[in-house]
Amino acid sequence: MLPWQVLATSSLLGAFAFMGGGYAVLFVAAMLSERRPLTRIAYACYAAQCACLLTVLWISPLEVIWKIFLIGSCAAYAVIPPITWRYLRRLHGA
Amino acid sequence: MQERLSFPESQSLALKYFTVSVVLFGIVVVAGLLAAIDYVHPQFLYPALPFSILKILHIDVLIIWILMAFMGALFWLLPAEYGRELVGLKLANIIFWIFCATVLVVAAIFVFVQVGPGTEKTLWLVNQGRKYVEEPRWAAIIVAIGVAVFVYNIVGTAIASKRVTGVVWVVILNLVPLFFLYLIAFPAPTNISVDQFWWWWLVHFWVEATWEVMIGSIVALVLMRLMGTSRRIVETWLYIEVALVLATGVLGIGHHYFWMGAPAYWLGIGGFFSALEPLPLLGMVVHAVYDAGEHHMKMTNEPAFYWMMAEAFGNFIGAGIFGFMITLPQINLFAHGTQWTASHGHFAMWGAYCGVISVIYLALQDHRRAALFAGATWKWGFALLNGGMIGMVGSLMMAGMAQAFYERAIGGSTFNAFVSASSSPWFIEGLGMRLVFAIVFTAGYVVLAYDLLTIGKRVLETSRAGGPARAPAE
Repeated sequence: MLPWQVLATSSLLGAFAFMGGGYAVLFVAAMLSERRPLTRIAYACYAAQCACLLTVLWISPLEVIWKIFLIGSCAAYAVIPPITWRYLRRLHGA
Repeated sequence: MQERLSFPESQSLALKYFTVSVVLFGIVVVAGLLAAIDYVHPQFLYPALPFSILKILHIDVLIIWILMAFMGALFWLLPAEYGRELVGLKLANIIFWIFCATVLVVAAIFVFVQVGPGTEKTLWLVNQGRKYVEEPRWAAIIVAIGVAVFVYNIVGTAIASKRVTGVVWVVILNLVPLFFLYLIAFPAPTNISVDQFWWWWLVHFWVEATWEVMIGSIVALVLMRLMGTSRRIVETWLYIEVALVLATGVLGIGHHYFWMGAPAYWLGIGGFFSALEPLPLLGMVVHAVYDAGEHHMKMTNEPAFYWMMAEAFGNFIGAGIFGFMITLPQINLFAHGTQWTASHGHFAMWGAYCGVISVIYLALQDHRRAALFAGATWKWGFALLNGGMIGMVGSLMMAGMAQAFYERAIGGSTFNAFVSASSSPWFIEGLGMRLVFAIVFTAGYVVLAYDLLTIGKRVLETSRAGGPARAPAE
C-alpha cells in the first residue's frame, strides 16, 4: 500500500461509516417528523456512502475479501435504519 | 438525607460511590492534562512527576472511576427493581471505605516509588507492570474482594427478594465474567506473548464486552425512569443489543492478537468482527433518535437525557467510525500503536461510558426532590466536555496520521523514521492542539462538578417552602 493510499483508504472508510450514521439518523428523524426533504437528505447521505465505497473499491489496494466485506456492509447499512424503524414502531405499538 | 430516599441505605451508599467517582474523574482529567503538557514540553514536572506516572494515574484511575460509577448506579437503581434494600450493605459500606483507602495508597505508591527493580516483592507491593492494571497485587486482591462483595449484594438480594427481572438477569449473568476476568490480573507468565494475550482478555473483555453489557443494563434502567419507557420495550432492546455487542465484540478483540504474537489468522477474524461493530451501534443510534423524537427532546431531567444521547452518538462515532478507520488489517498495520489509536481509544471510551454521568444526574434529581433539572450550567459542562473531547481526538488523529504516514508508510518503522515523524509539523501541531482542547475538557469538568454540586438545590428550597417546583434561575 502506498503511503497516500493508507490515509486515503482510512479517511474514506471513516467517511463511509459517518455517512451511514448520517443516513440512519436523518432517516429516523424524517420518519418521526414526516418531512420529505429530510428523507431526501437521508438518501443523499446513503448515496454519499455508496460513493465512498466505490472510491475505496477503485483507489484502494485492500484485499478482495475486504472489498467484498465492504460491499456487504454497505448493503447492511441500507436496510438497518428501515428495519430498526419498523421494529421500533411495532415494539412501541404505534 | 435518609428519609428522603426510597431505599435510604442502598441509595446513601450509591451517593458515596457517585461522589468518589466524580472525584476520580477529576484525577483522570488532571493527570491527562499534565500528560498532554508533557507531550508539548517533555521536561515539564520531570523528574518529580514523569510522563510514565501520569499515564498510569490517567488510565488506572479511569478504570476505577467507571467501576465505581457502575457500582453507584446499580446501588441506586436496583433496589427499585427488587422492591427492597440490597442485602449485605454493612459489608458493602466497609468495602467502600477500604476501596477508597486502597486507591489513595496505590496512587501514593505510584507517585513516590517511580522506579526500582522488578521482583516478586515489587509485584506484590509496588507495581504489577501491566497497563491499566498496574496496581500491586495486594491492591488487586482488595479490588477482587470488593467486586466479590458487590456480586454478593446483587445476587444475594435477588435470592432474598425472589424477584428477578430481565434486566437484573442480564446484570447478574454479566457479573460472572466481570469477576472472573479480573482474576487474570494475578498470574505473571514469563512469556510476554502469553502475558499480553491474557492481559488483552482482561482489558478488552472488560471494556468491550462486560462493561458494554453493564452500561447497556444501566441505560435500560435509566430509560424506564427517565422516559417512562415500558419494561417490555427496554428489555427486548437490551437483549438485542447485548447479543449484537457480544457477537461482534468478543471476536472483534482479535484485532489485537496478531500484534502480541498470536497467529496471523487473527488479523482477518479480528478485523472482520470489529468492522461489524458499528452495525449494532447504528441500531442504538436509531433507537436514541426515536426516543428523542417521541419525547420532542423535552424531559424533566435535561442533563440526564442529553448525556444519554451523547452516549449513543459518542459510542457510534468513537468506537464505530474511529475504530472502523483503522481496523482493517492493511490499515491497522500502519496505524497500530500510534496517536491514531489513542484518538480512537479516547473517543470510544468516552462515548461508551459518558452515560454514567446521566445516572448521576438522575440520582441527584431524586435525592434533591427537584421536579425539573434544567438551566444553563449543565449545558456549558456538556458542551465543553464533549467539544473538548472532539477537539482532542481530532488533534490526536492528525498527529497519528502523521506518524502512520511518515514513520510507518514512508520510513518503514525505523528509529530514524520515528524521530523524523516526531518532528513533523503535523505531529507537533496535532499534540499542541490536543493540549488546547484538553484545557477545554478540563474546564468542562470543573463546570460539571460545580453543576453536580448545585443543580436542583434552589428547587429544593422552593418546594420546601411550599412553592411550585421549577428550574433554578441561572
